[in-house]
Amino acid sequence: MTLPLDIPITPVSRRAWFIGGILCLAWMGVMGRLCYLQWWLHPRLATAAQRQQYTSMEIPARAGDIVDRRGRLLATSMARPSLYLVPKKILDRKAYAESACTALSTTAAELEKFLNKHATKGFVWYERRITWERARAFRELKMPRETFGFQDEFLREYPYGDLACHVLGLRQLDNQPFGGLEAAMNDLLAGTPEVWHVQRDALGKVVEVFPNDEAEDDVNQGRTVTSTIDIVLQKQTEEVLDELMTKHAPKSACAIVMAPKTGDVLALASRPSYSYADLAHVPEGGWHNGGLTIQYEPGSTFKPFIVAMALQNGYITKDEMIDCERGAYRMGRRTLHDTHAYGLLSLTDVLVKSSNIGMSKIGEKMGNDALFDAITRFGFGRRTGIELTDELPGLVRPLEQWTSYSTGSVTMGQEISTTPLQILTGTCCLANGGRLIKPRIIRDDEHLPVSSQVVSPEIARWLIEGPMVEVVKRGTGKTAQLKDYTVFGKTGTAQKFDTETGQYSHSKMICSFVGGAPANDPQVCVIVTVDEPTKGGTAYGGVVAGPSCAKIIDRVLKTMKVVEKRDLASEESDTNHR
Amino acid sequence: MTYDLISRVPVWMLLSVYALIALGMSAIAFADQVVGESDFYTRQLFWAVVGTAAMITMATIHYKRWMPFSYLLFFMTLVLLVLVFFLPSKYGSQRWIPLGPMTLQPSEFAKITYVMALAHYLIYDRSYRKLSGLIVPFVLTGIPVALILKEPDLGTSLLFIPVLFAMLFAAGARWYHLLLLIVLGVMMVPVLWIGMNAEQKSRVTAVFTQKDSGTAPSGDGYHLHQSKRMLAVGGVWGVDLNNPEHEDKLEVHMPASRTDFIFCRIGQRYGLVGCLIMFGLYLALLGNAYRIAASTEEPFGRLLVVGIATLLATQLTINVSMTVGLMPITGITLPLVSYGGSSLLVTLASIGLIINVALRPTFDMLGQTFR
Repeated sequence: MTLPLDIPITPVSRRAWFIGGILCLAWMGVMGRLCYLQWWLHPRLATAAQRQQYTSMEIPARAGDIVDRRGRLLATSMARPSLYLVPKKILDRKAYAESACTALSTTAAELEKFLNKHATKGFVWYERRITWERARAFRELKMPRETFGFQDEFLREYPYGDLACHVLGLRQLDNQPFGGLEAAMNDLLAGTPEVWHVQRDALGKVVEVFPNDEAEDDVNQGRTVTSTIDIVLQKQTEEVLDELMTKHAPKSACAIVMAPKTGDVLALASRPSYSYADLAHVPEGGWHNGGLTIQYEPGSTFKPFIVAMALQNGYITKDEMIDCERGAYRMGRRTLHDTHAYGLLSLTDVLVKSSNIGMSKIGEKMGNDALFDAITRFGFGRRTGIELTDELPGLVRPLEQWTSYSTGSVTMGQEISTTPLQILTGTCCLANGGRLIKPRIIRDDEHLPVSSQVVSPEIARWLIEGPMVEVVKRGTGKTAQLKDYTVFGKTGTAQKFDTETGQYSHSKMICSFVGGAPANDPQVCVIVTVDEPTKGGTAYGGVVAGPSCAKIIDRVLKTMKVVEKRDLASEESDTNHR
Repeated sequence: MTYDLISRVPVWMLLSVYALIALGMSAIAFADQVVGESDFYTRQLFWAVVGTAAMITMATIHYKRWMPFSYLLFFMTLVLLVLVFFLPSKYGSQRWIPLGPMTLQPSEFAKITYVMALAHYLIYDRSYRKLSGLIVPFVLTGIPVALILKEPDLGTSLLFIPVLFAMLFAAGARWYHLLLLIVLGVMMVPVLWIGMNAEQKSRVTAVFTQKDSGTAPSGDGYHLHQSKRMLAVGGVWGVDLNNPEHEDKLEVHMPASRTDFIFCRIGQRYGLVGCLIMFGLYLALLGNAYRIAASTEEPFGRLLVVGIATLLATQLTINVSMTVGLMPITGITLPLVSYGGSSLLVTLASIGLIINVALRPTFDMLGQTFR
């Protein structure tokens, strides 16, 4: 039996083909759609896929520690849990608030208000860096898992409390630094937050986490920064400063302790200050690091620098006698006065008695050009370059703006403004034999400090061991004498320029004392600046700042176990001077 | 005789069937690799072997021997469809009967037994030339559709309607009867819409409202969005798993990417070219099937082939349309390609039936017993 293979197309078989045809039409539509998706839309959707599909999650880095020069921990970071809520997943906010508040330090009403405010949000921090106990208490409430979460964050801790707070600055939430070393050294301290790529599905649920394997641990974490501060010296300095604040009730006061040979800042304190525990109530000016930010006319503390440069450049000699005109000297359009009437004074005595007339005569010999040169060589008018961000440069007006008036004013520390740190840096320059050293607050034993020889060692040594020791022995700085050490120093009492009257005020003073010890081998230099003392004696540098400065020198040197080597020769020369 | 049988074996159809299975397995393997699980394509291979055995069996026994049992078989599958309601639900629906390590999906078998029962009914003139005769086919269709709808499995239940119309049409029903029924059917759409649950409604609205690019919606419409994006990621030529350049593009999150959304994986892996090749294979398969139907004089066999071919074609069309966003998402597998034992087994068995009909195109071969 054979079969006809070529079957004629009957109406029925035509119907089968018709069904096939309809289906083919449907497929044409589908294929057109496919072409649209895969050909036309491909470039746009392919990239959108990645953008939406992957989100990155930042794993915060642990900020590095700050340690003092002996390795004591000044600032550190500790992991703490931070609580976040997912308000949009909380269906009954009132009931939620009532049960959740038992583990939180809030009332149900407040929490409910908070939840209502953020009702539509999928993520909101509720309380950050809470204690582990509180986090456990909240977990034990067994709230629905999707409504809250904890993320470990780092809490900045300052083990020594508010000591050296102006040096350290602070680190806010989200690892943002504010002031001090925290801000200045943020590049090292902050570390790099690790970015993990996270794949989420449509509901925001994390499907997979891809930790960044390439990041090395030590790159991610913040580095440790070693400060030149010695926290013990800092504590002693702050104690003295607090005594001073009580005794003289000034607007502000600051003290800096520096090692003259290295430029290391050993202590840096400023009042008023702030407390890490209560950052909401900081007294006016409490944020300012006075030692770097007070810009004032230095007054007499400035005089040794002028004398040093005058000697260096040969305008005067060490044994020169200067006529102090019996207390009144007409210079151009104005008449200068000394507090006491002096006749002929030796160069030493001009400094010891802080004679304004004597200084102006030196200024006249030098002329404005040489004066300008002198003060810029000591680094005034520009930042010293200490590693803190908030330092101010002071002000030295351009030479073109100087007048004949300036010749007298600048020599006695007026018409320019400086910061306490600049005056201390200049004094350290004299104390270490004429090298101007960039002050440092980051310890660096591997590199020599940046320095330049400004005056010759002989002149520097003569100024320290001669006039500046005499100032303390028998001049304006007698209050700074110490039993165990020969202190050198210079007082400064500057009238504040009253912007309201346009004149120097007679009541508002900035009193300062800059000094160091021991005179024959200075180990430490200290400046104390007091802004507008209101009580506790006449507002003279010697009265207000001198004793505090001496106290700091004494305590610092004793802590450093410095013993002054007094030889017979120096004893003799002391006697001779008297 | 034997030569005649062998010469009638639709070789091109068989080749395209196995090419489609191979394509499906490569896509499953690709999904395994992307997801990071490994043994799904081997399981599919196992079912392909079992399915081939079923296909050979179905091709060997003369199809007309099945005819007297067609109503009984249909009734048995209806019993199974009722049985699932007494079994625990999985993924929110009651579709499966657990059988030891595997599961049985009665609705897969219902499709075939339904086609057989309907073909059996429609071999007689009176069954389709009169409007009253169309009542029985609609009852036959209504029962499984209602049961499967209740599971709920909207997609599978909707498959029966085009199959019914195709078979009525192929059997020789009158144009205007069918048109009337279609009009009636369209008028039923609002009733269907009211009967749908929120999830089903959202799937329908997503087709009309969703934009093709932009960010993925969360919740409703997410699946559709991801599916379109996967296809777009594939582009014209697809992405290569071993090409590091494409590494990031592979990690597109896609639920059910081995089963109902396998087409996305094909589109992602082989691109537009791969998709078109797949359509070519289906065209070879179904074109052959309709050719077989057109060349078969015996009505039961012809209707059987039309029913099965339309079933496969409808599945393909609905599956691909939902994947590309032309139709609402329903749980329908891509025949021969999707991962799934029941589906592959039943599809291969039904292709066995088509081959069976192709081998025996005339009235009176071996049919004496039943005359």
